[in-house]
Amino acid sequence: MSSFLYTVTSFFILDSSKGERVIAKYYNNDFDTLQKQKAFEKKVFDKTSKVNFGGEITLLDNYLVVYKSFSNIIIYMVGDQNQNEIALLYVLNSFIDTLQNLFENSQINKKLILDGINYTLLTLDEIIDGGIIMESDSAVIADRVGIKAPDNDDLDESINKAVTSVKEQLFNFLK
Amino acid sequence: MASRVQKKDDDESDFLFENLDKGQVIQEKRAFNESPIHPRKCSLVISQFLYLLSRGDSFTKTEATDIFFAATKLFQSKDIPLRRLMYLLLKELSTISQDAIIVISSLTKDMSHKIELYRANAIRILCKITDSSILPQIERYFKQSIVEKDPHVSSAALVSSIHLLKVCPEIVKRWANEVQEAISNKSNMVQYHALALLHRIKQHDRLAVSKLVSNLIKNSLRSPYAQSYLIRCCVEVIEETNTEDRIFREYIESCLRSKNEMVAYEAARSICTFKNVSNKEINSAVGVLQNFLNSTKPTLRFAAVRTLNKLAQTNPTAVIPCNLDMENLITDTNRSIATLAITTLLKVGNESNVERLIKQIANFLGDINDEFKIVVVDAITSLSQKFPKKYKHLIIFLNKILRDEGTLQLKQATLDAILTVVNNIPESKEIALTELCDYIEDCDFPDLSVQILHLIGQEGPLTSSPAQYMRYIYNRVLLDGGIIRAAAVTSIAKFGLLYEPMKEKVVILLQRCLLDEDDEVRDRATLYLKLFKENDVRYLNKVLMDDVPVPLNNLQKSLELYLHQGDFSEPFDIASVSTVVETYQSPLLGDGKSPFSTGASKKGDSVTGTPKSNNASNNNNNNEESSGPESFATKLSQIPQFSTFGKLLKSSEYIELTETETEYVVNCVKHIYREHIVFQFNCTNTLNEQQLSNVSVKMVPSDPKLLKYECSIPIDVLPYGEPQQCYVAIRYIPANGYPLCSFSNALKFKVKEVDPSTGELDEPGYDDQYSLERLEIVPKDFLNRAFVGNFSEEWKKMSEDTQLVQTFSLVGVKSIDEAVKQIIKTLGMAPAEKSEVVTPKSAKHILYLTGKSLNNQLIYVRARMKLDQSQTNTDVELTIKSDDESLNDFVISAFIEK
Repeated sequence: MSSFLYTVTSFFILDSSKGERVIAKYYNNDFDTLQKQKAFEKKVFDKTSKVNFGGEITLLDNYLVVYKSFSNIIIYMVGDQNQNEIALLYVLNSFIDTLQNLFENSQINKKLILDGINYTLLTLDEIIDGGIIMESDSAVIADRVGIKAPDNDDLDESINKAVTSVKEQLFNFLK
Repeated sequence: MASRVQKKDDDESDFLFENLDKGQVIQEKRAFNESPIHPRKCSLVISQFLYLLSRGDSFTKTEATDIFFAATKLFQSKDIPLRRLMYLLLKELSTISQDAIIVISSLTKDMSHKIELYRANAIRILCKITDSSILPQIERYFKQSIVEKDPHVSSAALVSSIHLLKVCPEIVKRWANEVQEAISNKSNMVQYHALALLHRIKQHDRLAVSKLVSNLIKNSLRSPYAQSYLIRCCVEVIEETNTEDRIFREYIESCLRSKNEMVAYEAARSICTFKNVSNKEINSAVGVLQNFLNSTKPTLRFAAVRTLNKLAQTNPTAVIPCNLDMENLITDTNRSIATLAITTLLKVGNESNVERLIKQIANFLGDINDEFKIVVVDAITSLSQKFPKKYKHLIIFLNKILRDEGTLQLKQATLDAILTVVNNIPESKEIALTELCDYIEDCDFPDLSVQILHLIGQEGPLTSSPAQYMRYIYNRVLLDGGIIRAAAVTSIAKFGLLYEPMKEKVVILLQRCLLDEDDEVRDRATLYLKLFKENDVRYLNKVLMDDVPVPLNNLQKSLELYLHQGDFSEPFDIASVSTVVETYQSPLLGDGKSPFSTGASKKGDSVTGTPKSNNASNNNNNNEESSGPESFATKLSQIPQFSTFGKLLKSSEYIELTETETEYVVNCVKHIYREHIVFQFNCTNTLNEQQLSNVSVKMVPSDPKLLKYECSIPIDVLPYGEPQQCYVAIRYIPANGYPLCSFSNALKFKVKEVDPSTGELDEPGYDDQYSLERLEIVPKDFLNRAFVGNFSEEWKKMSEDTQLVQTFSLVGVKSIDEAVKQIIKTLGMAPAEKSEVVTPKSAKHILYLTGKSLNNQLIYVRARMKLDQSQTNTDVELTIKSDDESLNDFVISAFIEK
């Protein structure tokens, strides 16, 4: 039985001007060296970045490649050729939706991805674990990335301090 | 939230991380040791590490270990976002760092923490650093997490367990009850992960799987992922058990109606792979795909058309309802979709709609690039085999591409395609020639003009009105460059030779070329004129009509060798040139498979996924062979033991005696001398931990009386990866007949183990042997190819008294094409009069072959063949003519026992 479970074999974001890697993550050993990975990424980029190629999906060297272009980057989700194309698309959509959710609907671009690298990588980690889809609901994923945790301690402390001092002053005043 | 991150870093650079230096970041891990911990600072440093990892920077073991240990300090922080990042960093580094198990106690402590995020992430790291010795101690955390209500924790535990199943299957299998319980978790994802794990636990027990699957079918799972997974399980059960139980098929069919596209698609594509599928099933599956074809989402269209493309191979009629929808996809902006649509349509195309289809494709030609046009050309060409009657439309279509703007590569592919059509469908000749004549009036590529002129010269004189072409050809002499003029002159001469009424005119035209400024043009014209005046038809034929009968590379090498040897007492004999490369199919004829069946896969859109390595290794072989035989004679004559054997008469092709991926790879070349045969064994040792010495091949003949053992030359030392040769020589007496027999073979050698890291040998080693495939001496080893100008004339000249006629049947040979190939291969002779070209789908054929014995007696063979009534065997009537009856018998013996 070909595996449905290991949906994603690799994920990468490439710069859409030259095709250089922004970030990448490989989930099996098909490309076991950085060189092989980059060679594959170049091949994928060459095929998908052509202006008149049309978008979103293609088949290359026995891999299914689903992708989405943004102003200066392209985000790729790659799966085995027997993978369910739509499953792969769903993963890509989950990733993009979650980022959009986390970045409050700012335009996704290289700057956003890199400046918020912690969110980008955590999102990926919450969606895919060793190629297996962990979660698909972008609201749940955003939650797990840890964004809704109690606010930052530095801030808390200062507020707490402020509150305490007000309390104290009030207390003193009442005395 | 993003703005918060940006505020801090905006002042630095546009892309904060892009020029990040690894060494610098490693220094900054100090921040982890500060007390109190500054969450923001630490988060930033972790983010930088994570970025470096995902960018592809590599960390040494020491670096990774240092960072890993520093990061463990952060377990003290209560800042949740920081903790989340820390977990990810530990997980990423756990596989590079040493002694990662040190964090197990901290992680297990987290396992009882009240915050779910801690528990979920801790377990994901645990699964990475644990092994079968540790797992029993922390097993309870897994079991308890699997059954947790919180989906985050439960999913993390289940997915981690799936990974662990590869490490310690026995332990994970003990958790089956907990996993079963998790299937009823409210979360969709947990349900999916639990199903996958449970299925994998039971994977090796067919009955258990089948029970699990049928139970879950009744349970009605909600998760789309679980449903998709269950569909694949059903397919597996159906395929492996051939169950009569309808419930698996019914489940899949019910999933076709799912609102979730992924599930409906999974069901549809599964049904398309079923071997015995009912019309009802396939129709509803195709119906789902048809809907997808009209979707606005490219992925859905792609998925549907890809599946239909596959289905068209096994069940074309089922695809027909989608034809209209697919025609709309021909212009899809996504080229992959358009390609699949075209190849699918061509697969299911029929006589009535193919014309319209071609027109449709012609309409959008302007919108697509050259690379894709080549795909289209290939696909269209394959139609010529399927619908020979439509040649007119095909030729016109191809010509349109030829005339439009385009690269040489595209034009060449198109011209090749036209030649293929002309070769396959003789009726198409005239229209193709007319169109091509028009084209060369205005052709920017001299290469193409030359090829076209060659074709016109070859075929033009044989058409109904040859005169009409002359004007076009002579125009080239007047208007074009030297190389084209030369080709045109040759083409003109061919008309004079092949079409008697034009001979005088041709002579006049040739005379006009005598003053051409180009040497080549003048030389050609002079030569042809002289031959026409002497009316030397035989020689004209040879000069004008015969292709060089051997690969040009080989001819060049042979000529060089001939000149190098400096012995000109015998004239150079073209028959001595190796033809081995000819096993390579002529690109014009295609290889029975036609671009059609591989349609999309050709240009990287591999749908069928043909293994490329296979092709590559074939190519290698061919390269080797083409460089091989010419140098054999020189190489062998340098071996003292063989120096007395005389002239090398023939070398066979390579015969593999092992699989190509075994420990020792051996192939053999047979070298035939007048009284000797030398077996050259090319041996390769593919084991880097072994060195072989004293390597030889022991050959045991099936009939020892026929021959005498002469000598054997072993290989002294055969290190890893360097092919070397050992030889065995035998002697035979030609007067007693050739030694047709077979040998069983074994490779004998001494093995010494090598330490691959140091290269040290483990003395003294031991003797071993390795058995090889059998090897045969066959009649073809003693037959050479020969070339004659006009086969039918020579054939008539030979007396019928000594001819030998034999009929037999090639069992299991289902097509004429295959039969032709097999006969040529068995006899090793050269086909004459292009009789190796078989009209597609014909049921009978005549093949002419010429060859000669080692003492240069010519042999002519005519093979008449036809498919028998069952269409599974080919009946052959073989007629052999030569001056020597015993030679005839010898030739026919090649087919005995076949």
